[in-house]
Amino acid sequence: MPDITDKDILINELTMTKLRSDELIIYTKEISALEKKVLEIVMLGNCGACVVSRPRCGKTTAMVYIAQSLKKRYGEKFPVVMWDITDHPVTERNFYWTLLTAMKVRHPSNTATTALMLKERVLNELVTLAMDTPFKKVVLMIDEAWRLGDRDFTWLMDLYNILRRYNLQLITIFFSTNELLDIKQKFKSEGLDQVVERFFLNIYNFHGLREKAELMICLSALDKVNTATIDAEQMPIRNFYYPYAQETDRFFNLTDIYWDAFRDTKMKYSISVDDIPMEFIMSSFRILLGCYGKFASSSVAWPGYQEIYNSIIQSGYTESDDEQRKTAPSKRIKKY
Amino acid sequence: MNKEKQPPANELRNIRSYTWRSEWVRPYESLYSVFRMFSKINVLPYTATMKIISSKVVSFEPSKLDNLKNLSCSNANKDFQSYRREERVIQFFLSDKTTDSFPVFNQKAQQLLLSSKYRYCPECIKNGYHSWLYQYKPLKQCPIHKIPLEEGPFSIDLWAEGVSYHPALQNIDTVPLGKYYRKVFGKIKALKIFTPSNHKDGSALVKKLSNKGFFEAGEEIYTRRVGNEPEVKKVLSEHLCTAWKDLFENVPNKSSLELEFVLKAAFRETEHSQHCNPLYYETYAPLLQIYISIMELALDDLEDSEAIQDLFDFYRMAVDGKTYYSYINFYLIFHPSNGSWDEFRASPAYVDHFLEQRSDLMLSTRLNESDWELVCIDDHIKYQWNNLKRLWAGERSGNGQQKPSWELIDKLHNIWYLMIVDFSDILHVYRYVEE
Repeated sequence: MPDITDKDILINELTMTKLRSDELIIYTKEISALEKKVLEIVMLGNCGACVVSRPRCGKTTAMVYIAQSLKKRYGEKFPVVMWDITDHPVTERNFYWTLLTAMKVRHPSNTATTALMLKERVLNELVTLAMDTPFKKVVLMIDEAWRLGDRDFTWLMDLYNILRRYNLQLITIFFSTNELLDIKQKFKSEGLDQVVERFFLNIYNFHGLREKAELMICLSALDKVNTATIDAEQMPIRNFYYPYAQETDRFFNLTDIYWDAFRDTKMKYSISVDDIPMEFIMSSFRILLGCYGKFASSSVAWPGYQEIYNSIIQSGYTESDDEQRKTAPSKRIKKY
Repeated sequence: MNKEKQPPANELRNIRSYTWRSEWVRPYESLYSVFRMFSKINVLPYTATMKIISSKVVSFEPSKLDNLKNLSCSNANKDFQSYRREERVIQFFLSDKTTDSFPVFNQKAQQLLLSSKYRYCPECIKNGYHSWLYQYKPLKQCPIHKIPLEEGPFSIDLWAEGVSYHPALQNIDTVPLGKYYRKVFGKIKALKIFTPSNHKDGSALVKKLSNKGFFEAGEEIYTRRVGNEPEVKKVLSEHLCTAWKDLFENVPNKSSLELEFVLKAAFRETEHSQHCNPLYYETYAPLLQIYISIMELALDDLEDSEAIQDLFDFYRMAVDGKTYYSYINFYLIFHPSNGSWDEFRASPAYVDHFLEQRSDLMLSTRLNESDWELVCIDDHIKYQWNNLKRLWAGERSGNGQQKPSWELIDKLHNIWYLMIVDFSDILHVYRYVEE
């Protein structure tokens, strides 16, 4: 076992943090396709779109990437608001309050602040953001959108309509698990066409990895990742975690056995869904580094099939099958 | 009861407490309008706005906003001593792009030319816009919409509401305001209004200025370059000496020592304190000028006719408000505490003795810089005398009146003096006569 210094331990912790964070986004085929779709939606000025997928597929990371992409296309000042919906009572005040927080605006909090005042503040902020660029658009990306209640959609629609009167465009993109589609069905059955036709016309299914080639892209990208920087020093993670690997050893070369390991796990645990959520790719990879790299008691010179397989099992992938598909849809609709 | 959840602390990073863009300040917009817009955009009451602007809890009185209606967001405002209370608001909204503002006014000019009430255009208000130029009384209609300006407290209902208030959605054409500003104030750096009689009602002057510019409103009586101030002590001393010599040529008891004594008292010099350019308010220079002007009139303009002599005595009393003190005793210079005029009411001929105690007088002003005021006093006395003679001649030929009366004095017109410094640093003084 190689000598481990305190500095190594620190680098390891920081690198693991880096691998978990949005600082590292792998440009997968799914993200690429979603990016093109969103850019098209924004260019055309569509009212909204829904991005749905199974849990842990990487929607939130895709959202962060696309926000960066929009700024690259339209300029740093282009407004992209990222709003994480939390579990809170559905009131108009909460709606505007949390939206203001998502826009990084603090409003004085006291009992005199009414929902109407907060609404006016939100509108002023949206106008300000939209008019900061010549495109007169604001993109609102809502994560965990399944948590929104019926009235939330109505208030969103209200904001859209008011801004429309001043030739400003509010483009809302919802990121959610498949429960959002149930909400759409509910609106349709209740005849709320104005909501459906604004927000639910563009539905995009976001997937995890479905092909070996996509896994190859991920592993190839990870080959290029360096450790976190300390004292301006960094090295490829491959060299840091596997110092005894051969010169030609690359994560890219593990594609076949990695894919086989996932296939075997699917078969063994009867995982019926085709795509592999990106979370389990990254999670298994981190386990591979942390539990089989130089810091582990069972460290290896270079990971093989067994190490990869064990990492996949440890990552929780075996629980990843969409159990929610097995339950009746009606039980999943949020009641307000 | 629903309870709001506060966002977690890490989400509060980079959160701003207000939204503002400096480009939202529109040309010629008053600081009041900008302040109000800030409050509206951020949906804050005025107290919360002041707290943000001053970065601390301040006790706020809405009346503090009053002065903001006269101010632009120009850099020039931060030097105004009179706007100390509004300093934080001025500093917060300062814009390097805004350069136009009212010229430097003295207090009299401000009182006469700027309205103490809000003056606004009913159409501009719908865009949430108020200009400091609207406060200028001679401006009667909005240069943008060509409708009469209205006056009075702003009603909440008048201002734009909702999203339409947002300045980024407005497009007010302020070019006409710029044209008006350049036409009226374009050449003026500073403007002071002076009235020897301390009149209060300047409505006739304001009306005149509605139709004419400052340089056309009256007759120019004095001009010099700023920085080329004369040595006032020397000039006044010379004038007094000349008048003294001529006046007391045949008066054996009047010695030159008495002359020196008068001068020392007028400039309030002591053995240990003699300044060639003292502070204006520390001297009795205006009083001395009154006496010199009277003496010069007595020497130059008096015929042998007793009637004229009577008229002159009457006029002299109207000028200094004293019935029983002869001007050749220079009484008031030696008894300044008796300066309050008694049973004679102020008239257009009267010259206020307490000019040096005017509230708008800058205490740091030196005697030499105030030469133009002394010129105005001299001009006032001599101009009104000529007018009085004309009036009296008319009265005599009309109804054969022999004795002058206060009704005659009251027929004289009030006179205003406008002191203007232009951007070439030339000082001009204009006489404006109310008709």
